Amino acid sequence: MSVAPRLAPNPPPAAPLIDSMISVDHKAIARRLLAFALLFFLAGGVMALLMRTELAEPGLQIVSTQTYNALFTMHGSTMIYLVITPLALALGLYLVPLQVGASRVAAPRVALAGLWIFVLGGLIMQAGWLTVGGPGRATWIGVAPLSEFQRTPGAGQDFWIIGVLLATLGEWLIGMCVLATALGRRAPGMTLMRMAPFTWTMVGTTLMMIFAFPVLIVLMGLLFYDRRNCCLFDGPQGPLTYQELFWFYGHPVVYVMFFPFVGAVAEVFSAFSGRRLFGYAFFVASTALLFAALSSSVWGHHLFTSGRINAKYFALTSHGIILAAGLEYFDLIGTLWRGRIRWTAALLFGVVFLVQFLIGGLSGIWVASPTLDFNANNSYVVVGHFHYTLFAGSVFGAFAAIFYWFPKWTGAFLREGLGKLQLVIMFVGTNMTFAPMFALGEDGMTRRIANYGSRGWETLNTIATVGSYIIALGILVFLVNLYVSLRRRRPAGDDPWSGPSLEWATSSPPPPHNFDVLPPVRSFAPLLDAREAVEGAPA
Amino acid sequence: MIAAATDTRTNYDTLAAIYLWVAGVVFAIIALAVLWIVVRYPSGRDPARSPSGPVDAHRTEAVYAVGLAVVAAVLIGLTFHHQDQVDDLTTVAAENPATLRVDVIGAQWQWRFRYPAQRPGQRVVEQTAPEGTPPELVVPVGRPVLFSGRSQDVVHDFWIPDLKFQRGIWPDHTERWALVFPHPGRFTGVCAWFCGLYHQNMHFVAVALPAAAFDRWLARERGGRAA
Repeated sequence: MSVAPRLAPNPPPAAPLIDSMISVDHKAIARRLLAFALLFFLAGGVMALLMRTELAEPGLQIVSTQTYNALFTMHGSTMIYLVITPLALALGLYLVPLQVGASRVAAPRVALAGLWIFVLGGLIMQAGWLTVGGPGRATWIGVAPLSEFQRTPGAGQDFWIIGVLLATLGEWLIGMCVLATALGRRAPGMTLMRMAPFTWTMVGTTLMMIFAFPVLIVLMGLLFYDRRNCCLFDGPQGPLTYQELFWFYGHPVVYVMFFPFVGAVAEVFSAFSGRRLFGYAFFVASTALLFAALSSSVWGHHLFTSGRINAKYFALTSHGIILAAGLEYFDLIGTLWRGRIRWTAALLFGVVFLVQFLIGGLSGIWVASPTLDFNANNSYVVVGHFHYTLFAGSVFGAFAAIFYWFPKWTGAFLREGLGKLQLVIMFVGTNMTFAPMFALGEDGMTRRIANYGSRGWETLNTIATVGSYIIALGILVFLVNLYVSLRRRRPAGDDPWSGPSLEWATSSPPPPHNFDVLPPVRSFAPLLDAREAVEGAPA
Repeated sequence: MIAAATDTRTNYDTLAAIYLWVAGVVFAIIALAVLWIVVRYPSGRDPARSPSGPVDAHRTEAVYAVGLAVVAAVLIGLTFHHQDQVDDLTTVAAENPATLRVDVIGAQWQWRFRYPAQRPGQRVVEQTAPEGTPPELVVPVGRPVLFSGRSQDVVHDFWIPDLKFQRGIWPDHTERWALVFPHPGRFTGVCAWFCGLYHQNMHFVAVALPAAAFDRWLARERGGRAA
């Protein structure tokens, strides 16, 4: 009697919540990571709305300068460390094991630890709001020596440092598990050059993380030490060293927040045009290898105006991105070319991603030129530029991914009509918000200011503020969609879109071991192979 | 003479126009191509049509890659040329002992401008203002001015949007740059790097005077004020 329960094959969970929190199933870990990223996204969005409301007209209306400084610091930190990076990793953690035909992720306990270390870091960073002096307020890069204790006293800045350190450590652990899965746990027949396009973008992403993320983790440790001691970053060469080290992380992370969404959109285009990815070999070489390699050699373009780096070298490497990004666009568009295109919400989000990101990319080439960056740097041109990449680009790509893979994650569809409505609203709001910023920056408006005085910038700022509320409306439509789709489920089946890669060859959601039977893998689109074999048979 | 040197604004405008055109043309081509393809090949129009076309075009893509490399190379070449204009101005100005020197001192949250003695016995001129009021940086029109910037605390950034130029001011390093003010007038200057609580108030005004008027102003400041 005392022994029997231990021998029972499936004892009922004693504590379902704890059990789900410590599940080592990569899909469960990824779902939690995604959920936390979405929660942080809403928090970061509220901060953005508060800032835009303050900026609607000149002068100070709703927040103090001190609060505004905390808001832009925490908005940037939340979105970069706690939203887009983990969102990208959650997609990778869920999908890479499935796409390579693995039964589980490599080192699942490490991935689980990564999740909770990340969550702890995120909560600590946000806990800064509860401290007397407020949260971190020395910009999302925690720039030294401004972030030193005498310049930014208070526990909130320490919370920020510890939060960034832990969140980044957690993300790094998860990234390494994803990389190890792609490299070490592929199914029979799944050679490297048969990996799905999305998996390849995750390989590129995690390769960058190997080198970039530990630099930030160590830098945060040093900054924490330096706030109590002396004189790493406030001594000779200290301020420059801080920024060199930071941007050695800070530029690769920009691509960490971009590649996975390119990969997702590649899958979406492939599925909804009924074709396999065009120019697969070029796509792999340009995205996962050339782009990733360049990412570690362009950091100095963030320091063009320092006068203390070799501007020509970094202008050269930064313009090299034209080659990598240009090939990527060629392959994505080539995939749509002469396909049988289905205008689903996912496809349309992907198309808008492609066009809007182009504005971010082209303005990126603009700031890759030091001569032009001498005006654009630290102005609203840069704010417009990176919001076109990260929001108009990556977030739209993330929604393409969510609409495409939601049926796989839950077994039910998101509502297509609400999705298209959300897309139209977000498209209008996004361009109203971020396009005016280019004009404002060109005209001399500095970023990180709560009050822009009477310089004739009211109209464009008001338009941007209205746009930000329209974006919020779009996000609200998504939340309604999420609620409706989960409450009144429209069952999707295993492979509702006729997808190209292995994740569609199992049930929705997949069982804990992922696959009962694996189809043969003879190309990077094994399910298309199978369908073409069937369709081709009668002829 | 160096008086005819290109100012940063003209230099910027020339390069910016080229980049803007290239970006506009690339955007138009890609956006129109994407929209045309998405509208042209819907699955519903001809349900029997199967997706077609090669999944690879290695030669086409390689040729295209070469085209991209050429575009990148041209842009890099142009950028190098225009960047040289900016950098050479500083080199030339620094070599000429007669060039007007101005020290730029940044501190939370105010600018200070100091005109050091350029000949023995000359009096140092300081341009300051109480915090919250932009101090005046008085400069001559058409002649290069050599600036030496240093911060007393955190990183600041000297930005004159109308000259399309900014340069970081560091606490651990003296940074030098030269500028030419192309016409008389008042140019707004700001601190571009976030430097703490009152960053947004850290402004200055560059007052560009015709050369003769500037010389009179400087002579008066050097000689007139009792130390």
